[in-house]
This record gives sequence, structure tokens and C-alpha cells, in this order.
Amino acid sequence: MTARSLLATSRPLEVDLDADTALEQLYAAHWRGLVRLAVLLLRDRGAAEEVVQDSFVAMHGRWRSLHDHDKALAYLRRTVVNRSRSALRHRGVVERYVARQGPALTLADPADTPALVSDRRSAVLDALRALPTRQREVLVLRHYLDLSETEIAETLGISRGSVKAHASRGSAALRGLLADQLHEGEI
Amino acid sequence: MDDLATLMREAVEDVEPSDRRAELRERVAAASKRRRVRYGVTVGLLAAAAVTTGVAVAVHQSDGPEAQVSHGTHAIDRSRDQRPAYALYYVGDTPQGPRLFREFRTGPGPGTTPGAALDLLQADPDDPDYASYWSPGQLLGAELVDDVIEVDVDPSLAQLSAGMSVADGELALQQVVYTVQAAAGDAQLPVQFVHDGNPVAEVFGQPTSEPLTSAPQLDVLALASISDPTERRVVVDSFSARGRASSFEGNVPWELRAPDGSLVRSGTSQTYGWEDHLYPWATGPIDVSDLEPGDYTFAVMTDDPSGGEEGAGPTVDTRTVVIK
Repeated sequence: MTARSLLATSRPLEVDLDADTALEQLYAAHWRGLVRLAVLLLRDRGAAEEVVQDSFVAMHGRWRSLHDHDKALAYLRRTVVNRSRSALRHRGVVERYVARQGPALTLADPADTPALVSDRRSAVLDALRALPTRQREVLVLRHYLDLSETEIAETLGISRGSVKAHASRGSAALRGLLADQLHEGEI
Repeated sequence: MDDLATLMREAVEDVEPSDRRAELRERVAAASKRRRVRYGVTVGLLAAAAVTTGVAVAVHQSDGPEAQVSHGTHAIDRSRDQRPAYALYYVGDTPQGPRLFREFRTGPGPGTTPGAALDLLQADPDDPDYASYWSPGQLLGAELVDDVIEVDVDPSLAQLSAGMSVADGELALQQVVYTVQAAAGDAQLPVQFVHDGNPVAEVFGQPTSEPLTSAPQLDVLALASISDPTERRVVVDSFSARGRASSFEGNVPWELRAPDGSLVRSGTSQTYGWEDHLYPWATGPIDVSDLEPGDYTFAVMTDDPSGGEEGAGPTVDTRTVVIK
């Protein structure tokens, strides 16, 4: 399965869906993918779940104006990105979730995974965090979600030119930070 | 797929978020209700605004249900949502004797603190199978002082209580050590038992004049435990469970039993290791949409390849799951 199919719209436009049913369907199809998206943006898993849950609640409240899966999914993506950005701005929120995770609450101990993969995961998440916010957002939407420039511009509410600029600067920076990982030969 | 996409996919491929569907349903139901109420009170608030410039203040001070529906709504909701989960260690029976099981309970925020963790620890655990060595009032407080967690303890507890073995005494101290370290977010922090700011020489017959560290997990923790679901969690359609275990060859069998005790679901989760400490396990989604509503029992256990003929038998942890 490609990244695109993980988060792309998977069903045709359906009219007369009520908000509760839409919520159930979108949750079933996109909960995990959106949490993973938020982890790439935020790094912290607990905060990611909170952000995505808040976004689903917001989507449900706006269902009357969204009224179809395409719009709802686009709204969810946009809300997850915006709320992740806002969570990062208020570092306290993230710190709290990190504290709440604690040493005993991590979802997967590093010992869980072969050291190489585990190191690479940390390196990728660290590198993303090191980027300026817009560059990180553009790169994650482009590479992880496989969105087009137009879709990224709509999601972030910026021009296509800005998307291009952030993508090119961000790619260069990220490739620099991940030089070791990209040259391990496995990728 | 391009190389950056591959790296990003791999970076989050192990992220299996917990199942929040039931919580989400409750939140949207509450939000819908608030919206309905809010439309109803808007006129009243406008009238109020005409006579007072401090609408938000007035709303905050009001005790009526309207306080939940206007300017204060967002703040009220967020503070409730952000109550952090504390990892609390309680005692339960295992084939290896009493061991510590972990239970998560929300408590005061924004971050978890050792002091609040001890307050919570002295209340009864949610899981009726667990117990505590500590009674209310025996642990007086805790705070982090210069990279040491100081735990203020009732000084009359120097000796073992009636019926407690030496092993119980050691485990009672580890119950506190594991709980305050989790709340402080650092399992390496030493823990000093004090009273009135001075170290106490003995607690439950154990020497405590020097700071304590956490004992190895395999010596004090139950070898299989459930983190999620919490006790009496309400589930609809499906749920997933996760926790930690050290079980033979990483096999962690689980089962779900109906109110009458009959087995309705079972499976085996796999951990990456088992020999040196506890490793996380997760079931993935368990579909319960065809089951009658009721109180079910989810159980996870260590694997016993001998079928009970050798060794002490499996460690088992259970949770009541309410299927609606």
C-alpha cells in the first residue's frame, strides 16, 4: 500500500451522510494515518493522538458545511497540521504529554526494534523537528502524504510558489541532516 | 517511492495509536448537546452583555449549566482533556508471589508530579484484583530536590507491619519508587525516604538512610500486564489492547471471555524480546461488533509451553471490558 492510499480519499462522494456516520467512517479509514501524520509533525505520540482526536471533534461540528468525504478529509488534514503547529508553538502542551507518557508509557521501547531501524526512526523524527515549521509541513505533506503542490498549497493556505520554495529548501536541509541514513544503502 | 518518503514511512510505521473511538463518540455527543444549548442561550447572553462589560467573568463565576456553554467552554474542556495519566504501581498475585502491576489513572496536571502520584496511589486501585501496601496518610508527600525524589513518609512505619514478610517490605518500597519515578518521567532518579526533611533510617524494616533505586523489572514487576484498556472501559464495535510482558519466546496469549465465562475471542501477541525486561505487546483491533452487550473479561498471560507441568504457571492480568 502506498502512502497515498493510506490517506487518500477512498470512497466516492456520498450525500445524506449524517455527521455521526461520517465520523465513524472517517475514523475507521484515517485515524491511524492521521496520527502518524501528526507524529511526523510533532514527534510526540501522545500529543499526536490528542491533536487528531480534537480534529475529528472539530470536523464533526462542521459536518453540515463539509458534507462529503473529500472535503471532510481535506479539513481533517488541514486541522491536524494547524493544530500540530499550534501545539508546537505552545511547547508546554507537548511537554505535558511527554511527561504524561513518562518512561513507562512509551508505546514501543527502543529495545523493541532492531537498533538500526530504531536509530533511523529517531534520526528522521529529530531531523524533521530541526526544520523550520513550514518546511517540515510541506515536506511531510509532499513525501508522506504524496500530495500535489496545489493540494499542499490549499492545505496550508499558502501560494504554490511558497510551497515550491519551502520544498526545495526543506529537501536540501533534510537530506543534509539525514545524509548518514540516506547512504546506508538500505534505502 | 522516493527516499525521503521511505524514511518517513518507516519512521512512523510502528505507531499504532490507541483506540479512542468510544471517547470520541462521547466528546462529539457532548459537543452537539452544548451547541444546541448554546444557540438557546445566545439571546440571554447578548442581553447580559448589554448590562455588563465582563461577560466572560460573569460566566466563569456562574454555577449554572450556562457556565459550560459560552466563553468558558473551550478552557473548561481543555483543562479536563489535559489531565495527565499517572502510572501507578499496585500489588497483585502472580506465580512468583506478589508483584507490581501498573494501572493508569488521570490526575492533576498539567504535568505528572511525584506528589500527586502518591496521593493517587493511596486511593484504591480501579482493578479489584490489585491492592496497595500503603494506607491513606502514610505517604505524606514527594518532591524532586536536586535530582533526588524525596518521599515524606510516616516515621512510625520503620518496622514491618503485622503479616508482612521481608519480601513484602521490599516490594512496598519498590511500589513507591516505581510510581514516583514514572511521575517524574525518569526511571533513573534515586528516591530518598525522608521525614521533616531528614532521611529516615528504616521503612518497613528495610534500610532507607541512602537513596533507593528501582529494582530490575523482572524481579519486581508482574511478567504480563495490561496498560489499555483500563478497568471497565466502554467499547463499541472494536477495541485494541496493549501492555507489557516478558513471556517465553515473546509469545503473549490473550483471551476475551463473555459474562458467562465462555471464551469468545483469543489470540497471541508477539514481543520482540523477553529475556531482560518487559517488552510492549499489542493485540491490534479486536472486533466485538457481533457480541451481546455486557461485562466481558479481557485477560493476557505469559506463555506456558509446558501446559502447567513445569514451572510456576502463567502470570495473568485481567480487565473488565464493558461492551455496548
